[in-house]
Amino acid sequence: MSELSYTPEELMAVLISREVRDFERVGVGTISPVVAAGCILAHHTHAPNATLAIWRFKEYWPFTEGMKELFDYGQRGKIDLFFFSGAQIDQYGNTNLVAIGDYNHPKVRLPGGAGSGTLSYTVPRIILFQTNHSKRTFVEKVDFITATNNPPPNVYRRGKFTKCITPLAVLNFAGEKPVLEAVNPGATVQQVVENTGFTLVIPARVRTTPPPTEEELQVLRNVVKEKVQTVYPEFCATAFRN
Amino acid sequence: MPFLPVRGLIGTDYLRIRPDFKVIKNPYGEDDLVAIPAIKPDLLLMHAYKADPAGNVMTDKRESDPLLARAAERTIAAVEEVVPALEPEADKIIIPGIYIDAVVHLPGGAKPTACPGYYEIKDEEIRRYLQAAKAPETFRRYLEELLA
Repeated sequence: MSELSYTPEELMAVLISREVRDFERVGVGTISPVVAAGCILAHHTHAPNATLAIWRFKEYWPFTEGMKELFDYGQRGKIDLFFFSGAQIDQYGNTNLVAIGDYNHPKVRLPGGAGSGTLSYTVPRIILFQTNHSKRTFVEKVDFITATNNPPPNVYRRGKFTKCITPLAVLNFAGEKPVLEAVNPGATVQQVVENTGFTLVIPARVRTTPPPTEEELQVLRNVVKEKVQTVYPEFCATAFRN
Repeated sequence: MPFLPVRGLIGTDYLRIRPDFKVIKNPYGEDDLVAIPAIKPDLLLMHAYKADPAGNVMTDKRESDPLLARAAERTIAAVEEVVPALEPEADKIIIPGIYIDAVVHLPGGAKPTACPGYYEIKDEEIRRYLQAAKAPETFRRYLEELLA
């Protein structure tokens, strides 16, 4: 692999930023520094009119109360785009934030799903992200379905988890089977396949993600880093290149 | 209020581990909803900023403590400061003393997590806590050090 001029976190923030459309209302939950960075980058580039609700960011909190208000706003159908992650994500696009192993005797007790088990139904566009692309995170079947990509009929539901952004690739969960939508610069199809614990549909010609532009990296490493630093100093210590 | 109806959760494993979550028909529509029973805590232990002698307690309005205090049978509030009288402050809310059974003056009571305006969370402190919490013996020593 040739030497890249940006970190995996910077690449992910850029890919996340490109998903944000101008004038959208975007929700970002807790412990998601890479998503916070991506959304703030979008706000300073192509989406200046987006409304961002990023937990713990004073400047990006359009509410007067806490997380409950964001969840209620999303339940009300007012959030256009939300980002979720999972310690496990499976071939169906289901996520797990509750427990690894049996729920009653877990190997690892995870932080919990927060609003993901409900927002997934009322937010029309949900994009998954996972900063660690491995067979441990991308599994055939999650140990606990925290947020489902496939609810039964007769349930109010506005959209599917269309894609998942990782340091290696973009996976698509919109259809029956998971598809390799694009590989990121520096990664190969083989590398993605070897690090994914389920079978991916590989199109005849796999798109390569356009690399971060000079402008994106410039904004990311200056104004965005400065803002993210105040909430996630540990993340900022290693995520950005000078 | 015995329960709240919720859109969501159907198709997740929450329904598998919580048989008390019931799928119900939306009486005003065609879709299925989940009925979530009310939580009635026997006791709420909360940490807050300030209290006055009447038992009024000032806390962060972005957290759930005011709701919890109303739901709980009994509430004990530990506070950083006891002051003669509470004055309104930005981003803070006063829980009336009628919901509070006891106030404990306990500066530092939220450690090793944060009490905004008084002390922040420290990553190395959390790591120390996680390490200590792995066994009863190390945790006991950790508590002794913390309380010393």
